[in-house]
Amino acid sequence: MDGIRVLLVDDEEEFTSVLSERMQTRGLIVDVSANGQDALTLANEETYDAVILDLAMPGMDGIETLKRLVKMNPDIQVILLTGHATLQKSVEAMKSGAMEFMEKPVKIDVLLEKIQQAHDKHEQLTETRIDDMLSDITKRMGW
Amino acid sequence: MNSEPDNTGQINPEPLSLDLAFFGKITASVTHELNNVISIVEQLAGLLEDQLCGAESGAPLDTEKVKSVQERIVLQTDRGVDLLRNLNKFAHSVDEERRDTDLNELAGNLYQLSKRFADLKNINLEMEAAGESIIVRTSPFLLQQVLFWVLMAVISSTPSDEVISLAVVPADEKAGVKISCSTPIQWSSEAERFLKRAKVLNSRLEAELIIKESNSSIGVCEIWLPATIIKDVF
Repeated sequence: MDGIRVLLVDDEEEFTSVLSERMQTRGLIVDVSANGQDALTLANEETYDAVILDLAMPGMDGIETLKRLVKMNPDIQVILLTGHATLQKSVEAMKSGAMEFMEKPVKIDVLLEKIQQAHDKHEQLTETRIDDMLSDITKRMGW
Repeated sequence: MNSEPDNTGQINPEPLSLDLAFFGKITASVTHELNNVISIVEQLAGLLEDQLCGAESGAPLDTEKVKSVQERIVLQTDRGVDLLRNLNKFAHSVDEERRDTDLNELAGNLYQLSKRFADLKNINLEMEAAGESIIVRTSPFLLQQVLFWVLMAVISSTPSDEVISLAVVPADEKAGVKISCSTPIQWSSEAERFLKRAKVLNSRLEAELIIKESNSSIGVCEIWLPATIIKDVF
């Protein structure tokens, strides 16, 4: 999983601290944010293969952060990782563009598998987007 | 609980649904936080496992690291125990219809149970106990509910980064819990709904409930009950 870039967003600082440490040991590059606003700033500056996002956070909540992340970058792969969530919230999250909805506590191997899937999907979407752009340019230039 | 049958034999749905709404809100909040504690402990245990796997593969075992992780686990278990203790006290508040209740203890427990609601709005909730023991004969469950909904009303009307204080105040033969804010507040429409709940519940509690108009900051909500004040206990 070397080089996969992840943004971890959760207001439980001890949780992000220990989880990011374990992810880094496994070769991932991890940035951490304690709230939705900072997450948006980071996602605007950096390209992430996956964003791991909590639902209940001070200020901007997870669903609102998700919607803004997707609006900013439709290819972004967001995994919602939260405590006891309602079915209504999980449906809302998936409709808002989340790739996956997971409940805490989570085994790191299960989370890493989802991150790998997010990375693969993100790469595939990026390639498709580049192909589309090249095809569009080719058409426009009449090549 | 407080859902007495009316003269048609039907359960009056309003008080029951208010009681359940209160129970649901508190238990959902506390169990969410307990879940966070368990998630952290799980990851810390995983970190220890990572260290041991490394040692089994020939890397030197970092004993300082292991010690630090063990200390972090203890901190989280202490946090979990506090959460459970508060939830347990809350659950026992329905044991008796009325009983002698220490107002400092009741307000302190409510403060612990409600802090997360303020945290989620980036509001700093503070608690100030009275310097003496204050005993009120009341329904602790109902009193907590009235206090909770007025506190929710104040939280929903207070801007981020402000401070809300919950103070237990003795006065002659009565005592009150006074909720104040670091800035004058405008009651939100959500607050009006919460205050309506508090008023309905207070009609069963028969305490003196004072709710100030918008633009107040000190004592925006106060609840007063007859009390026995025991001085010099600290």
